[in-house]
Amino acid sequence: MAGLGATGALALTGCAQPRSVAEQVITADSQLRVLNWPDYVDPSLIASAVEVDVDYSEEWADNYTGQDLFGAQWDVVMPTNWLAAQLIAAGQVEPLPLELIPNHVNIAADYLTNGWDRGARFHMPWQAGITGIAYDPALTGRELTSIEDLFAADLRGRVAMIGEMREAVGMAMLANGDDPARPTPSTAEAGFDRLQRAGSDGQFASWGFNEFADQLRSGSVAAAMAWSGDVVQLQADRPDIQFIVPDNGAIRWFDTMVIPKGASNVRWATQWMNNFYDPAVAAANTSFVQYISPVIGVQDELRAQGAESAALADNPILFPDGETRSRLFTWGGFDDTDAENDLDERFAIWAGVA
Amino acid sequence: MRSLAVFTVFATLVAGVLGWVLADQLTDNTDQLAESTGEVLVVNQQVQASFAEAHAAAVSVHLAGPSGNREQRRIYESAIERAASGLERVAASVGDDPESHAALEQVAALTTRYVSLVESARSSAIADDASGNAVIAEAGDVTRNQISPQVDLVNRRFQTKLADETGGGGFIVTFVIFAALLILLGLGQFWLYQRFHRIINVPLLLATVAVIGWLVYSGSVYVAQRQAFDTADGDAYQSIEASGGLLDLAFTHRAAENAAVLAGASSVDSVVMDDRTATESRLDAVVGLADTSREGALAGEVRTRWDRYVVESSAIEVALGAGNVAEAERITSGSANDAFNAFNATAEALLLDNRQQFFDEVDYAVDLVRWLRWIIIAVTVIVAVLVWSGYSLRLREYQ
Repeated sequence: MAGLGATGALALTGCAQPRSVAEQVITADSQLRVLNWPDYVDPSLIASAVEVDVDYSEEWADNYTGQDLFGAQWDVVMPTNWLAAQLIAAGQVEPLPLELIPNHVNIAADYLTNGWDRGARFHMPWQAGITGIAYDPALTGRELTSIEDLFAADLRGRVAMIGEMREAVGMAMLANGDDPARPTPSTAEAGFDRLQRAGSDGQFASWGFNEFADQLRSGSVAAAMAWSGDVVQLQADRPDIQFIVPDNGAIRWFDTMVIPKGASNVRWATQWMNNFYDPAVAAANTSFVQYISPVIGVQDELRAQGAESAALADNPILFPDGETRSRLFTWGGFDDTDAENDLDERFAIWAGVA
Repeated sequence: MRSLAVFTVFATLVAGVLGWVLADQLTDNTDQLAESTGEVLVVNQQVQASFAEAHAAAVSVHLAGPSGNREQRRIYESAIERAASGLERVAASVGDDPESHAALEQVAALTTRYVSLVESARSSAIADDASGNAVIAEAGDVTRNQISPQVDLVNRRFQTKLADETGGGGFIVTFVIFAALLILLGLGQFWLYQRFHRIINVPLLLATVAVIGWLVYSGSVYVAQRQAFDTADGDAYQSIEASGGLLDLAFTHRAAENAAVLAGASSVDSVVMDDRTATESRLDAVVGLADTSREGALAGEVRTRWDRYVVESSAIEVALGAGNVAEAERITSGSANDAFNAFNATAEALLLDNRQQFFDEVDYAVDLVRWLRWIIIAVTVIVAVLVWSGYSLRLREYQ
């Protein structure tokens, strides 16, 4: 009767057998479709990543507006941590079939303890970065050490800012003594107020995204809120540019691989993920993109490669020490996603990056 | 014949009423399991693990001295928040069980005391006052020896309820009642055949088919529900218990190890090593309980991450043995913390996977019996009408 039990009861009651994470359907197709940010992978690593053709796109729309990530059009997409948290909470992401990703064990500890996905059952970080402060000592005339320096009177009108709400407001929250890893609407609004006050005083020269690197290179600004990876690349031309994690902290963010719900090629998406969590492959990609790798073993791999790679292994921006890491905060998200998105919209309009 | 017709219809209605009562009880039990018992048992494991995680982090913060450790402090605060919200969920799910409510009230009071002890120890550490060491040790005693037994008490009460609610007694009695009705219908058909030499009475035959259909349906629901309960209780809940126990032991070891470093002990206490050995043997049990390739992969990852932590733990032991307390502190608050946090998060992922499996199976069991009561009423009415019309046919013929 057991067989009859399963089918008979199903037919008569119309209820489906539970499909727990242990019984996930693994779809497969002859092509893997990957959507990523621009210049975020060593092109030589794409073709060898999986055994099927890869349709690799870098056309990730700014601020994710009007871009459909779901359905069968993408198998792997790379949202930033806060968006990944929202997508996972909304049930728009497939659980990772961990039995097909043995290198999942190489995810570094920092990326496993996020409250929105403890143990990383739904995502695997691609690359991480620090939003800190970069400055030209010749133009500031002094050493910068804290977030307050971005608001200092002697730098008025000579500071470039990044128009990502969670990073800019997060930095302002740190300056206020609040914790962006556990933001509330009131602490975040206080951070936004601080930015608005400084903005109306003419403190900031500009709001943008990667533009701060060119502005520092040309000397049009003296200091900038800055992404660590862009600064590492900038330092190749301008080794005098300094990058700091301020005393009162900085924002750590990461872009992370997820499989959208309804993806038609889960099987090869897992092979893609597993491949990029091989320390040798991850080290090669880190050498190319020069952001922080979330893969355990990459530093040792770079050292073993010698030459320029070994120099990267000793770069404190790519491999921050324990003391520095204890001052890094990853945006934790509001309990109310709508309230967070509302603040995001108001911020983007105010900063002129909408 | 009229008496037999009345008796059979009456027996059908009695079977229907009894079936309704038993199905109602079965549905209530299954709903109770989904909304109360299962929730209490699963969340209790997470509460225990959260308290243990909070204390391991609190000791790490204390160990860092006046400057503290912001990352560990964040872990401590998050774990206490998770424990508190878990306790709220348990309190909302225990229903009208006074003993559980009394135990939970005690836990709430002890949690307040625990938090105040940790804050007091923190104040001492900021003032560089060594008396904080005894205070943080007392806080550890509150979690281990006062909070934990109260949570265990609630757990034991709900484990008994789990056994009651997953029992299949009601189903079997209903099955037997309708099997008896089937026999009665068969005997009626046989009596009519002998008395009137009619091979088949169509309405009675249809009534018999309806009862057989009901028996097949209820039997299939019973089997599917047993399978769901077996998976929920036997596989998922056992794994949840094992993962919760693993986390508890691991945190105990971690807190004791931190305390040894804090005391600058010349070597790690044998109790600490016993905790580590107990954790490893519990880890074997967790790996052994993995019944799918996904669970096996996750359990394997938990083991790998524990092994990485043991490497760091051994380095702490060596440093303490050599009298190099500064090195032991550096490892404890650095690479050992990273390795332990990774182990902790992975073990929690395993627990979350099993939690999802548990509730998927329980929800499925709820869905299976959702229409049982209404189907019993429908079958009863149909059979009663068919029986009456079957005998009426013969009565008219006879008259």
